[in-house]
Amino acid sequence: MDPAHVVFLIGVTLTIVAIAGYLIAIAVILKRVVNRLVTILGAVEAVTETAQPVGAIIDEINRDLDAGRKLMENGVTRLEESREPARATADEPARHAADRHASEAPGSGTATAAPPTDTATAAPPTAADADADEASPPPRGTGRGWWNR
Amino acid sequence: MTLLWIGNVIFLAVVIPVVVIILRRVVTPATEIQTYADDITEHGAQFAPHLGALGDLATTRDLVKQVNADLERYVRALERIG
Repeated sequence: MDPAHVVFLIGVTLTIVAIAGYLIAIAVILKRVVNRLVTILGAVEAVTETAQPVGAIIDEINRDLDAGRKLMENGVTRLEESREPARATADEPARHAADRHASEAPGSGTATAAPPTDTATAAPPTAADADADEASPPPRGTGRGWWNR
Repeated sequence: MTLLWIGNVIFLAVVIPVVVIILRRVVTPATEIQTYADDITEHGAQFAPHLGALGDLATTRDLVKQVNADLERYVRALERIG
């Protein structure tokens, strides 16, 4: 065999070995990459399954919070509307009592009216008070009762 | 024979280095891809624990429902008082 052929064969062999070595290295690298990607894909699928019902739950929470806000708002509105007449009627007796005080001033000859007391704090009438009312008839000569006829 | 030697020299001096250079240009991106995949795997593993709180959203939903029911009772009681 001619030495030139031997050198040629050696060159071809080296080339084939180099190509094969690089291709094997590339195959190994790609295999590792595929394994990593499989792991990543599994993690991504797990995350997707975990986060899938989150949207519906958050929507439900938002609906509940909105319903609660409307409930609170309506309740406060109704309370304000119901407290407005009560406040007006609470102001009315005070004004009437002030008028009565002015008309029943000392020297007018009639008994002074007691200051208006809250019904919740006033003492309840007792049986003795009822007997006293019955036992003492109104004074004659004053007023237009049946006893003056 | 001379042409064969010239061919051998060209083969050994030009073709084989060109083949090696081309193969290295293929291997280098593959190596980088492997590094990126390793980084993604390493940091992707830390991604799942941050989503653990998502499981508590169902509890939050139930608590909001309870708060709504209690709020309704509270408003009714306030209306009864008022």
